[in-house]
Amino acid sequence: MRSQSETQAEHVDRASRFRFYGDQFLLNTVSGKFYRLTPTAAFILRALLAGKNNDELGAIVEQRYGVDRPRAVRDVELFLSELRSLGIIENPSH
Amino acid sequence: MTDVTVAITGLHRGDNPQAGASVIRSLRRVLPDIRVVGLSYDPLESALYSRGIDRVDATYLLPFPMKGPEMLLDRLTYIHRKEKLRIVIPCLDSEILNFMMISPELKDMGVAAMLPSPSAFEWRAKENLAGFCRLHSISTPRTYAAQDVATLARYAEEIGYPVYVKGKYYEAWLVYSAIELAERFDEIARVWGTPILVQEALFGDEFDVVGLADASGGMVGHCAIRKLLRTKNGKGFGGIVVNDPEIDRTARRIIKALRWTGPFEIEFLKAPNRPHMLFEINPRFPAWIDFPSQIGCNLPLRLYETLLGKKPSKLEVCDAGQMFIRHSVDLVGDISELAKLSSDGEYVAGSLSKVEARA
Repeated sequence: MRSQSETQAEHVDRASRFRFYGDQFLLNTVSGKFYRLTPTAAFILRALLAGKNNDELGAIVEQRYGVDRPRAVRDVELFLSELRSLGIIENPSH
Repeated sequence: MTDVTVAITGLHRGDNPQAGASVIRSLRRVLPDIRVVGLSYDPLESALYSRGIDRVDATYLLPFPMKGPEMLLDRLTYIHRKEKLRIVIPCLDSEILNFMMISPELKDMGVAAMLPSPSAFEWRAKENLAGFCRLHSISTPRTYAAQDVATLARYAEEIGYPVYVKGKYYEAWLVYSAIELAERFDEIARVWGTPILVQEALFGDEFDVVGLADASGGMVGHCAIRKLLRTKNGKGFGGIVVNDPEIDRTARRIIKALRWTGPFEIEFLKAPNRPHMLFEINPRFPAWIDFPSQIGCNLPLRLYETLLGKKPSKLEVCDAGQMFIRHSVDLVGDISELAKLSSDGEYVAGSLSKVEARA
């Protein structure tokens, strides 16, 4: 099990490797890869990089977009899965 | 005009661009009065026709590297007598060994160069790189060298097709069968000789690190990029600076282990779910060397300052996200320049009024 300080360090490390250019363009400064984003994706990603966990992400999506909580959580999970498959974020086990 | 004359090779910028013109740009942007002597193997090397910042002030043809170090020394002695060279910056893989072999004589002549040791140069050779990586626990694609096609085919079977077939200095072909492998073996061996290498084909992003190492194998400056645009032959025509501590650490480890001296380019390949794999170390600046120079990390200038014992300029850290795109332009020349260079083997800019064609 990872300590809280390790988890915080990971958030800082993850946040520092991404650079947003407006709400539609993202650069990973470590890999040199860049991505076009939708505004919704940028909103969730910014929150993720700020250290929000999955439950918190579901809550802020519910609040911002006025969808019910189960749908917000499902959408967030789908989005995170896509980020993992693109290598933008790591798998939880890493 | 400064009294420092710098000789530079590798002056062709085509689909397989060489570094010479970029080195000239990096130097002349800061030292506008520097005198540059172009050392060329072919009168059609493109930078010889530049009138811009990457121009040469004089050009001399050199004997091909395969002619060996003695002929190179003879030619450089002649050029030095005329030009009073202070520095030489070789920019081609195939000539570095010759320059290393004549470096004591160059030093005696007062011509400075920053070249790797024979041992470091040999370890980074394509046929020895896998052994170097094993020794230092550095990830690299499976690679074998062979003098004959039957042995190479056996290695290819062991790795599994497709594989890359590579020459000792240049050329790499992706092949899918033993028949293709034999064809490429012959082609490469004819031009570059043996051994020929066979290498596991990995597909992913390419990362390059350019740098300059001091005499003790310390990196004095570097810039790491991901190749953005690649030509059919894998040449990077665009790149973006990355800030990857893992790449930086590995590059430092490699340079230290080799006790490298002088310019270098380290190439990595990153396939999905695999670590960065070292697949080449080039003993010279790369063709994109003027990119870091333009963003504050002028390694050719640092080389120049080091060789002349001058106070070093500051090298900035290249910021992730800065990028380059290669842009091709058409240079205008006159056939009289080509005629003069082809006939005399040398050409001093400005001294030649157009040679009139005779009927």
